[in-house]
Amino acid sequence: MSDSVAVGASGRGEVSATAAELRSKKLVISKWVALEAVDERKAIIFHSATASRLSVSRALYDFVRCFERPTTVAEALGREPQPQALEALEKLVTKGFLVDGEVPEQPRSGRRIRAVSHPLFNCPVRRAGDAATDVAVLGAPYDLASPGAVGMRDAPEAIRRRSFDFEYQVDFRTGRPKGWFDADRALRILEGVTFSDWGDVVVEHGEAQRAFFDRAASLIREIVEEGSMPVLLGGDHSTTFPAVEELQGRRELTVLQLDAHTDFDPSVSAGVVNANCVVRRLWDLDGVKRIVNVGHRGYTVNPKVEQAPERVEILTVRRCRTEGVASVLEALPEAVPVYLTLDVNVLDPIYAPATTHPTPGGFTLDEIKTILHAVGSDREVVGMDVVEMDPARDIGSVTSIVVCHLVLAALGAIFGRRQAR
Amino acid sequence: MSGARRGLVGRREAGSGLGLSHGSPSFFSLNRGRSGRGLHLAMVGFPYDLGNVVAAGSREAPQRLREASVSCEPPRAEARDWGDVEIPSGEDPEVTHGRLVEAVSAVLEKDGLPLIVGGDHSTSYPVIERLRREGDLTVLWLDAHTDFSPWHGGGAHDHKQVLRRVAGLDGVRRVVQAGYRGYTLEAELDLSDRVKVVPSRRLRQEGPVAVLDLLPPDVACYLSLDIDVVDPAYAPATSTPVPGGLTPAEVEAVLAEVCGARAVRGMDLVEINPSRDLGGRTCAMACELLHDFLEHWFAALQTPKERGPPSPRAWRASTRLWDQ
Repeated sequence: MSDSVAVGASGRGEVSATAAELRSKKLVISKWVALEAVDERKAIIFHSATASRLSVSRALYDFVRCFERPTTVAEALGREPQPQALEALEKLVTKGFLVDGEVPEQPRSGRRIRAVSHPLFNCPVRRAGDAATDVAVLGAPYDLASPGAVGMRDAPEAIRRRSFDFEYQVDFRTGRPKGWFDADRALRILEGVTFSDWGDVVVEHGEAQRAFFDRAASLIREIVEEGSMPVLLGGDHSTTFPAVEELQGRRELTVLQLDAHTDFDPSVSAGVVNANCVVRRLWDLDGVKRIVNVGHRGYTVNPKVEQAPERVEILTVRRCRTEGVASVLEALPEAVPVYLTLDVNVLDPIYAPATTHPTPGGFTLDEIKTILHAVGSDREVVGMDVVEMDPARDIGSVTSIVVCHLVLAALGAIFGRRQAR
Repeated sequence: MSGARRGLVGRREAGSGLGLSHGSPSFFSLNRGRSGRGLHLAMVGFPYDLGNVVAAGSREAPQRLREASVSCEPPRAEARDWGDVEIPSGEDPEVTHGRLVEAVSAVLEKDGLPLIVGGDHSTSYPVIERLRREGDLTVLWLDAHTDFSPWHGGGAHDHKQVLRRVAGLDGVRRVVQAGYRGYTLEAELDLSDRVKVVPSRRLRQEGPVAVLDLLPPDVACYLSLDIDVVDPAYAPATSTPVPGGLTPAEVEAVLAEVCGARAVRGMDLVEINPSRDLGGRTCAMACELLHDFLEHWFAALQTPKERGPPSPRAWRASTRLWDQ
């Protein structure tokens, strides 16, 4: 929903100091502003650099049109402005619709978020100033750091598009989210758990990876400071790095990595963060107390299980099947919060074909759900991501459906635990 | 070779609206048409997919399955390929469903039992509606979905509501839905008095007995097999795949047990959308399941039982099938 700015909104005679300054200032309409719709009662104006949209009264729109050329308020009106007019103009200046008329306008480069066409599960799109929700979904369509693989930038959209099969609904009477019914476990999950979709982190192609990481981290910081749980949709596995880097700065973490590969390649140059070495980079962070890989298998040149470094435990598929899900819980220190990173290749490729690195011998969906349920119910999970999905390799969008299942399974257990406490 | 033209060329009884194109292979190289005597399974194609709101394409299934079945050995069961129901394009769905009812009547008249190859899942309703006039039925509905959406009357229904309509029919004594799974907006385990739901997970853990226990042994049984009950890894060619499904072997086990222990009086196979197939694997697997069904049905007839399944005529004569 767009915001409304009305003339005459304030009833009193005083104005704020900043509004008072506007009396003598030359203002002009920003060159990024466009008119989306207008009728006798109102107009909708749009700022293309910030993607913000305002609904204004017709009277205000007619007034703002005076500022097509740099003008002061007094000149535009031909008289001393009313306090209400100044308040309205102040709001427009704050939002960037009106700018200083005497200084050439610089392009706005502060955009961090790109709006998406389908918010996950059709949950509400998060707008600035909205109340915090329990779950905050954020897309990271960055695929420049997965050796040999491209296409993961399309994954957030593919997942979100398919997620409309699992529509987020709110009870009309109570205002509480209805959640979903888990047919396999015969129970309702995520009832009363609010969701919002923050959109995608902007990727400026050609920028340094660090710039993207900083942008992603700043959004995750905001999400966590509001008290929401971040759910990140990658992108390649390097997108895990800014999330964990941000979260481990606040609290010690265990990283639970569901992945066919250890992503611990020691041969990658120091300072480079890519999908082959992201876990090696996480290992270097002070706040990452322990790393547990579940799902390793096959033949790799990376450190073998027996040579696993300190603070790293590798639970192969075979070992998990032999020892059961208890082995996963035993590997996760009890009082330490967990960050869950899920590479879709942890599943066998016949169940999740849209993977950048198909690796036979993987888990079934039921096995992964069992692991997610156990971990979500028994440890404090503070964030999660799903990465390395390449929709171009999908078969009938089934992997997108599988990712929706994984997100619901994990969140169902996590919030089930929170509600039980 | 469009769906509308199929059935218009080649051997056909006058006015039947049911037939097989001259050049087309028949299912499993079976004899074609309706001549012949005695109890047999009549394979009838129903190339209709307007009842699937998600994606069209299952109208191609009967022909693709015939092509895929050419390399299968002919089954031992007495079976014939009666061809496809003629479906003029643009026809009112209620009229089209009426044609399927007529086809089933024609099959019953010749001592046949219908084995319908759809088409989308709305196909099952006209078949069951016609069969229950012969005698009471239980219905085994193998499907990832419960197809129990609200239906407010009117003629046509689609694949999302079809089971609700079926369960409301007089003569349908019991419905067992097997294969429900995933995340749904509403809980769908408790649908109505007559309908029992066995989720995929329970079926996998307990085996076919989970289903058999819910099917009264003294009532004839109709089997509806929606291919999406099978996991999408094996059956990608369907419009609404749901992960976490059964393996083909698990489905075959159910078919075997049900044919062996219940009087199966009809079957359908629906929701194969060949346009979504991968290298023909779904059609190949579905042919195997059809073949399995034919073999198990045949074996059940051969096996003498103390309380063997009665002949169709006996079934028609009374709703109470077992002589106590």
